[in-house]
Amino acid sequence: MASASAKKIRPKYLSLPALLFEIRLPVPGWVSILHRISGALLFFPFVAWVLYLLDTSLASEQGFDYIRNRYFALPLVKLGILVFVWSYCHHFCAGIRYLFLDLDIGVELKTARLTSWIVIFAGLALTAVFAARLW
Amino acid sequence: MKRLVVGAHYGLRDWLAQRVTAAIMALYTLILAGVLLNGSFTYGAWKDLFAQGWMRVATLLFAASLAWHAGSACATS
Repeated sequence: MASASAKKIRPKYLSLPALLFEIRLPVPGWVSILHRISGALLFFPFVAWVLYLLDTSLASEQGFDYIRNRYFALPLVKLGILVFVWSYCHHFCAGIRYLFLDLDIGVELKTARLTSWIVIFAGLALTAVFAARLW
Repeated sequence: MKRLVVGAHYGLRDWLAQRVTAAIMALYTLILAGVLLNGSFTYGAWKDLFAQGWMRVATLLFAASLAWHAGSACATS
């Protein structure tokens, strides 16, 4: 092995600042990665959590009142619900966009970028509507 | 003897299953959202909703779709 002091000069665009600040994902890329992240989150931990909420709220009236009035009043629970709702809404909207892309609808660059923005804002807007009802 | 050394479309089943289950879950979501937005949110209404025959079938279908959807997502990634 060559000595460690012989430092390799790395290409500029693989430097950490470049990766973080210069090479940016296009909007459809953001929709895609958020689709995957939200999908993973929806499976774990949210499937288990929703099952707990359904079980408790359906088992008895006390359980329903507990979930509705006391459990949902906890700040951390509210935050979790918001993350869940956003994940669901984003995954839903982005998924519908992909179903259209599968049919070769909206694949032109301009349209793809426009629908990506629509998906991102629709996910946030639906979350905001739900948040307004939650509080 | 069927030999599959080269070729394509091995992922078609997963690909298709992912989209069919997505459509099922999207439909369930719209129906549930519509029911929830129309009715009052009380324990009686909540319990009655999930006690109905069609809702039990739909929810079971949703659960099966969810498992298959997530499974095919892992298989095709």
